[in-house]
Order: sequence, then structure tokens, then C-alpha cells
Amino acid sequence: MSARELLRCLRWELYKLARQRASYLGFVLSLVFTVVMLIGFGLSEFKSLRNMRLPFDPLALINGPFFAHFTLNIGFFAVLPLLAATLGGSQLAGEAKDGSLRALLLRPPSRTTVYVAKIIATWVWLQLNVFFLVGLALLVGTIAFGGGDLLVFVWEFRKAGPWVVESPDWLVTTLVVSLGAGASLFVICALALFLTTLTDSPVVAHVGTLGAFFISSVIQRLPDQIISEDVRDALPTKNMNFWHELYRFWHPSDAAFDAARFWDDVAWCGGFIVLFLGAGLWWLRRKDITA
Amino acid sequence: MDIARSVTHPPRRAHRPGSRYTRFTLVLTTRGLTKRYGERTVVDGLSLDVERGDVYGFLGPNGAGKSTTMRMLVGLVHPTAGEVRILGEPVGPRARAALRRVGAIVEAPSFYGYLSGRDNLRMLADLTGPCPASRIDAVLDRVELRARASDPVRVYSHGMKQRLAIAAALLPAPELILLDEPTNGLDPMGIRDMRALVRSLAVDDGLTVLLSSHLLAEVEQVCNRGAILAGGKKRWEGEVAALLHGRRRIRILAEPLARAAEVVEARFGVPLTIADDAGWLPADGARGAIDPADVVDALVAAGVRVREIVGDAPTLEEVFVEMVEAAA
Repeated sequence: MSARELLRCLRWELYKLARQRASYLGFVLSLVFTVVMLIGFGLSEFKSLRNMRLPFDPLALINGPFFAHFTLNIGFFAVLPLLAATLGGSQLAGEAKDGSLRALLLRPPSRTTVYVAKIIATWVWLQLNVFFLVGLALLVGTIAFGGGDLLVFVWEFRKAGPWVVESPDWLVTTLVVSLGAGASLFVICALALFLTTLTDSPVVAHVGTLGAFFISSVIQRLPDQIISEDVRDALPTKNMNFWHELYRFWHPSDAAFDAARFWDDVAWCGGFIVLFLGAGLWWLRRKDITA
Repeated sequence: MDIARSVTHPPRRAHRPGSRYTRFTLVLTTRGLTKRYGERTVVDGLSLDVERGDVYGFLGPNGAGKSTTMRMLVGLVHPTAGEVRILGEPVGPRARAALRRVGAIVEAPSFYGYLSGRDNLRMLADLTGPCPASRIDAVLDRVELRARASDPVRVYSHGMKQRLAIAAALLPAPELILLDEPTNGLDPMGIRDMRALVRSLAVDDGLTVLLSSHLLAEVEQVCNRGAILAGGKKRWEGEVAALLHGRRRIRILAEPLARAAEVVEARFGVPLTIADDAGWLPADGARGAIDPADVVDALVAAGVRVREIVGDAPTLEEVFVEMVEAAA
């Protein structure tokens, strides 16, 4: 696999994504989701925040940046996994279904090169989706609720309470957590990219990926009597929250960031990604292209 | 499409004396090529030799293993055993270098429907290696698609996609073209044009062509050499003319048939077989090839009323059954 060949393949994979209508489904869903969130946000009374005793008035910080982060946190479980699964699952299986995989693989670039190019293109497109969702929510939220400092209220850290990241620091916060969320969602993409090598039906890859994500999410929430902590720790969905920890870089207390937990989760997610993509590559290299 | 007009006769051997092509260089060889799926052997120990300049017909009934073989030739399918060499270099899923000199259509033409014909070619050209933009125009001209090159492929007819596939196969300026049943799904005009184009690739461009087909008549029209595959095994390989020699027939509808039989036997020295209310005469008689016009003349001169006289070639199935029976 030469770097030049990989870059050529990557360029065309991105071009195909950009020219394919189906690639924009994620952006349309993000738009719909943002509107739904906006309606919900407008109707919310923010009881959780209202009942907290804080040195500042959290209700004064219900603004565009807060809305953008709120949308990202909800979207991470609601709409973005769907995008990640469909994006990754469509890569090889979609081409196999259309027959274009044959045309692609009888050219000189190796299967490894083609697969790696698809992996990178998928990650780039997924990250663009995440940025789009956050950017759109920021724009819409700022128009609807105004701008200002960012109130960080992550459900996982609710016991510690929310904190404020001042303007313009929250722009960096937004950028970093968006990248973190994209990297975390890539675990789902990696599973889809593995399944897409096994089947010639993109629907099977999509449903299989979402099914695995759903099952992992359900097992993660089962009580301790049913599921041991060791099993829970090994679940992808348990470790995919590592990006929440990134918010605590901007916590007023320097000791807030839990580096051990962060790197542990990153290692698990990285392991899953390597495992899924490695298995996908192994299978693709030995697979007979009969579609 | 005007391709047919540019080609007047099929090649029997497309070698050009003094050209850069050496007559007996093997462009494609397979040795013991085998593919098994579990217990089922789809291709069994196939050895082929395609010489430079051949238009090589790869014949076989549906399910004979042609497409699996074609896929192994371009590295889409891993052989269970055996090897493929193109221009002396090994080819497989992990040996890709030789594919730079090969153009191929495997099964139905498939492109990205949301991209234009030109964009599809640009992409395939870029993935194959350095290719100037003028080359894309040249191959589009070659298949007469330049005027529609900016349209998305999803609006192309099957025939246009097939021509675009030929253009894609020609992009790398190949030395070998592999065509898997290229006339499948085409209307009669499309079939005529496609066959003319294939002949032209060999005659005008000096390319070596391997064409798979389940139609003996197609191979007869287009190819000079070939092989027959059935049940995954090679049953025959050689000159197409030799395959058909002695197998062509002339069908005669005449009254009275008994009198026609006497006249034919006396004039041409071969018996007229009567079956299905028709007389059947071998086209290659004991005294050489029989011209149907001579048969008409002889019958009319003898007062036999001739209703119809038609040259007839056996189907692939008939040839194949005959071969199996002969072997048994």
C-alpha cells in the first residue's frame, strides 16, 4: 500500500460521499433533530437546574452555546449512532449491492488500500456530521436564546453540579468535545465497517450495528445483580462516554479531570476500533467478491 | 452507433507482421486453476493459453464456471489451487501489478449511478495509474459516448452502460481485454454493435481479447480461438473453425424430399438425412464445402420444388452433448 495510492483512493472516496445524495441523510436528520430539540428546549422548565444551589444563576445561561452542547449530548445517543451505523455500513456492502465494488477491486489498488481509504473517508464524513449538528444547534440556539458563556451541565457529572466556561474559551471546548464525540462514535462506525465486509446487503450491516449498539446499551443499564461490573466495563457503550471527561479540562478545579478514567476508556474504545477494523480488513482480504 | 461500419470482416488472427507484437507470446495463462466452495468444485484444474492477438472465446453453458474463472483472472476470487499469469506476472487478490495492463468487464457493467460517465472514467483512470484527460476523451469517442459523458450514469440505457464499461476497460491502454458475456441484455442492434466493437478492438487496436459467452454463434462470429468449459472442466480448446468443421448443416425444405435426397447424394456424394419434415445435409461434404446455392441449382434442375434452404450451425449445447457422448 503506497501513500500516493492511498491518497488517490481517499480523494475519490470523499468525492463519492460528497456526490451521493444518501450521504446527506445525516445532515437532514441533524436538521430535523435540532428543530425537535429547539421545540423541547423552548418548552422545558429546566427543573434540574432550577433546584440546584449554585453561586450563579444557571437560568441566565440558557443560551445558544448551552443549547448546542445539550443537543450534542442528547444527539450522541439519539441520532448520531444512526448516522454512524448507516455511514459505515453502506461503505462496502452498498457498493457490493450496486455492483460497483467489482469495478473498484479489479483495479490495481489493493483491498487494504481501498479499505483504509474508506475508513478515513468515513471518519471524515462522520466528523463533519458532528460538526454540522453542533454548528447548526449553535446557530439556531444563539438566534433563539442569545449568546454568552457556556454552562456545562453533563448528566454524568450532575452530582458535582454544572460549571461555566467563559466566552470565548467555550469555542475551544466545543471544538474539542465535538472531536471527542466524533472519535467515540467511530466505535460504532468501526463495527459497521466490519459488518459491511461480511455482507453484501447494507441493510444487514446497518441493522446489525444498531442492534449491537442497542444490546450493549441495554446490558450496560442492567442492575449489578444481573451483570457483573467486569462485563459492564468491557462494553463499548460504557467506554464511549470518554469524551464527557474532556469537558472537565475546563472545570474551575484543576483536579476535576480524571485522567485514569479517560485513558482507560480511550484504550477500550481504541481497542474496539482496532479489533473491528482489523477483523474487517482480514475478512475483506480473504473474501471472494461474488456480488 | 456507427461502429459496425468501421469493421468489415472478423479476424481469424489479429497479428500484424512486423508489429511490436510477437506472434506466439502468451498473454494469459492459467495452470490447474481450481475453485471449490466446500464440497462443490466450480472450476476444476483449468489450464488455458491465450496468445497475443487472439480473440479467445471462453464458451460454456450457464453455470459452467465461466464467471468464477473470469473473477479469478482479475483477482476478485481466490483460487483454491493453480495460478493465473498475465503477461508473465502472477495475478491474484494480492498480486495487482499486472492488472495495470488489463481492461476487464466482469458480469453486468456497474458504475456509480450518481456520477457522470466522465467522472466514473476519471475515477477508474486515476485508480489505475497516470492517465491524461485526453485519454478519457479518446475512449469516450471510441465507444461513441462523448456527447452523453456528462449525464449521470443512472440515466444511461443498458447498452450505453455496456459501452461505458468497454471505455473503462480501454482506459489503461491495455494489452488484454477480458469481457464477460458483453452482449447480455442488449437488444439486437446493441448486440451487433458490441460484436463489431470487439472485433475492432482486435483488428484495429491489436488487442488480445478474452470473451466469455454461452452463445456458440457469437464466438464463431467474433473469435479465432477458444475453449469450452462445462461442469467446471475444460472440454475443448483450439481454433473455433476446427470446432465447427463438420458440424455445420444445410436444412432443405423441398418436395418431394425423397427425390431431393437422390439428387443431393448423386451431385455432392453425401446422404440427405430426413428428419422433422426437412432434409439435413452436412455443409462440409466429402468433396469440400457445399454452397447452398449449388444445392438449389441442382434441385431445381432436377425438377424438385425448393421451398426453403438454410445454413444451420449446431448450438453450444448440441456440440457439448456430442463431445460428452463421444468421450463416453
